[in-house]
Amino acid sequence: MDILSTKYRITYEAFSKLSGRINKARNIEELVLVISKNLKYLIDFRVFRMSIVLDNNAHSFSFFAKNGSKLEMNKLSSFETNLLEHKIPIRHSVIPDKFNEFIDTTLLNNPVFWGWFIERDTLNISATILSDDIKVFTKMDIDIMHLLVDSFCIKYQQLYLSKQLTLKNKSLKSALKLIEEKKKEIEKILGQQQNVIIDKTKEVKLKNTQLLEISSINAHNLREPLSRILGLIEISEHYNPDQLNEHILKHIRTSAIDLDNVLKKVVKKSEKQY
Amino acid sequence: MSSPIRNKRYRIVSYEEAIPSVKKIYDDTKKKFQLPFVLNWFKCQGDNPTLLAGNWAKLKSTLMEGDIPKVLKQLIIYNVSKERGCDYCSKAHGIFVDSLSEEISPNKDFIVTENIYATIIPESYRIAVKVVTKAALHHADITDSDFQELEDAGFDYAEIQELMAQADLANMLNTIADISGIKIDSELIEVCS
Repeated sequence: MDILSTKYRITYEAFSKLSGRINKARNIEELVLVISKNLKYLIDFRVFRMSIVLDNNAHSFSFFAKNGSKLEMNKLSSFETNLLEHKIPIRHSVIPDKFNEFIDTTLLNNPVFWGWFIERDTLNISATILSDDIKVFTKMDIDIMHLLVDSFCIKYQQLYLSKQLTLKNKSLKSALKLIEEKKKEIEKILGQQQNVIIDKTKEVKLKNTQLLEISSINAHNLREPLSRILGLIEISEHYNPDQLNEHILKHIRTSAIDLDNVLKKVVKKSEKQY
Repeated sequence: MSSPIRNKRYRIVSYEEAIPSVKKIYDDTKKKFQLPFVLNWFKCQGDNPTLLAGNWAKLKSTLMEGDIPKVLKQLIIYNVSKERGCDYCSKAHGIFVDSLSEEISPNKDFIVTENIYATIIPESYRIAVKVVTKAALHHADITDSDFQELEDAGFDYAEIQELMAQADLANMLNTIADISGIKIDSELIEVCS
């Protein structure tokens, strides 16, 4: 049995446990915690960093040997941009300044900086490792590291898309709620307008009735005294002045007063209406 | 039915002659270890169901369950047993480290805590094996710096407790194996040969 097989035997259980926990992670925070806690059972490293380009954004994750992790958005370092562009693996002793943010690199014994470009479906990934003589990363660890990056990135993409979907659903729901509120407002305005129309219609109907009443007064009440006056004038030719004064003028006065009363009534009704 | 195996110190209670409550524990050990037989370490306690139940509960929760990979726990038990000279446990747990015994046993000089396998065993394993072996064999010498070393290797509080629990488990395993005078299970050798 070669050394590589032995190594796989030792790390097999840890990797299988880690895969199970990655699958069970319900959100990005849990996923990062699972990786942070279990990396030490798989490989030796000082800093392990993965940057995933997703939706034109760079999502970077840095994990530290002494437990702990850091998540950054759109903070690609130049070595990562180069890796993503040229896709050429790196292995040298010049440590990028970026790692000073995470660890005092002057304390490392013979530090080695490793880097790979990894392409998975629609994802472009930069994976980098800082190791030294104490936390030794070797060529034998590369396959395990690739498997780890695979598992992590696939799960991360799934959780990220699910989060985006939840956010979109949330904003759709709030838009729907707004539409519902506006609809209610419109319905309320329509209801109010309908009431106004009903009131106005009632008012017009009432006025029409009153107008009809006035017309009726005009037709009947005015006609009657006026006819009487016209009739009296008609027969007045056949009377001498004394007879006219005694019999006709008296009736004309009475009819004129009646006519005047009816006219007053009409004026009063009209004034009431308007 | 196989005839009962006589042992000078503790009687070996076979599966066939075990009472139902002991049989139940035997079955559980077979299930948990994924072995088609009962280990002598359990059979030598078959006359005392109460102790057997307690010791099995301790072994199961400390070694078979938890967050730490079983292979690391087995490496610890193996290393403690080997350094103490417990023949039964060093052989059995050497086999349990996923047949690593093939790698480990032929090499008389192999000490996990040294650097022979430095490139294949992650540093966290080596530190855990070293510190917990010290806790098992020389518990009075354990200092805060030993705990700090485990923390620096990335272990959190819960993991450190789980690791340290292997020390007292190894001591219990070794003590019972040594005082009972049990020999390594021939079935275990056969299964792994």
